[in-house]
Amino acid sequence: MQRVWIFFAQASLTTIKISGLAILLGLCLGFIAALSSLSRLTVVRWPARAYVSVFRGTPALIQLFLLYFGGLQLGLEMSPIQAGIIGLGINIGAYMTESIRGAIIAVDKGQTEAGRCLGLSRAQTMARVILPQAARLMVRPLGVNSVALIKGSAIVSTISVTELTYTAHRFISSTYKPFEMFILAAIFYLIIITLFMRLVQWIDTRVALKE
Amino acid sequence: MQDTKREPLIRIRNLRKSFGPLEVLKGIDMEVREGQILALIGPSGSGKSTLLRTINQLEDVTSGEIWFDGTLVNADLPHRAREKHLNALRRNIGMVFQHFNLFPHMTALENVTMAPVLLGLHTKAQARENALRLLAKVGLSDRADYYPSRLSGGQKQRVAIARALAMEPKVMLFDEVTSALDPELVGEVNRTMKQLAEENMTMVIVTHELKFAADTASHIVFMADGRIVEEGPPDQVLRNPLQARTRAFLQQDFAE
Repeated sequence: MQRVWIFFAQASLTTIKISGLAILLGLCLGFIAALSSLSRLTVVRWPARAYVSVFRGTPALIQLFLLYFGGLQLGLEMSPIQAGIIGLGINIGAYMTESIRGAIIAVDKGQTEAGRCLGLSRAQTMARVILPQAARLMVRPLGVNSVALIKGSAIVSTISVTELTYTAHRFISSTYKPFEMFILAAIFYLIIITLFMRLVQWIDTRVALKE
Repeated sequence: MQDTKREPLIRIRNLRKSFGPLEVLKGIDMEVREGQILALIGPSGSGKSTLLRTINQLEDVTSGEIWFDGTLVNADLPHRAREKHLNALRRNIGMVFQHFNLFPHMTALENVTMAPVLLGLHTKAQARENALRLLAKVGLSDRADYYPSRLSGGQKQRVAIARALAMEPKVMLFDEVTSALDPELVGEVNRTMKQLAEENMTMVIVTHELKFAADTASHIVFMADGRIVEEGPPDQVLRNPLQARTRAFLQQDFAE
């Protein structure tokens, strides 16, 4: 039993790595899609809205299988870890799009008017006036998205990535102790998420309005 | 005081504006000459704020022409060209809002220096020096490093005036700038505007304060129901109005 801890600790690192990279990918996609969805041009807006609808409207597990197994069938070869990161990232990006878009829309319209009246372009107003204010509104929703992703990363166990849930399964088949093994996995998830929430709170105080 | 031979700084011709089926500006003709202090007065919903906001195209128009300093403001251009055209025009048209619209993530000083530095009007050092001079002018030297959340409404509005002045505009537009203020804070903002008026800044002021308009403006325009009913010097429009509609408005207001 002593040695099991070590395997779970290692598996946590894989969960953290996959989740972390997927969050980064999701943030990139989220920013691009959020800004696109606020574009004046339909051809830019429409793909962003379609992305959000499709990836929020279908199960993440199906998306992951399509990417990994469907990808294989189409000759798109990836390691399970790569497929896990990309699949989770694209999925969470759709949710993050909505968090980022909501934060941008929530900034008072008068701020845009004030920026534009000084002669700033749309892009300058967005970069210097709107986004710095939207940033503090999006930290917490993005934190919630990310926590959902860390927990949801358990689904990559189904494509045999040796992360926490997969490791629990593996030890259950050798020890026949599902209760202990799942409790152990749950404890590790709880630790990861508690630490992550601390990080979110720290970022939140960093971007808070100064007085 | 005014050179009547020169082109007016702003010339508005047969301007119409509809929001859906509702026509809010029904053919406006108006001129603002350099150095003129024009006060737009009238009941709520008369279209005076909308008219002001068409000058820098915060509101687009349905038909008619707006000329500013010899340029057609509402020129029919492709999107990109129109944006460029408006960005250039707006640098010369300062605007102050009812709800201040200060940038809450910047100090008073940063609010004033941001646009001149970003748009290459001044270097950082020049902009800072200029901003400190403007903040001193509006009586807020000691508040330069304060964030807006720690300023009173009157102080915020004075920072907003300094911010607009920092772009060295040719005209300043004021959109009910004291309407959101506590009564005891109105005076400090009015004094700042009066000081600008004395320096011959061209100003268009939408206001509900008839006394301030009477004291400060060189020209009064009275609007009702999307039309200009009457205009002229304050003494005439406010004390001896020719139109019954103007008399009714003034009576109502003084009765309050």
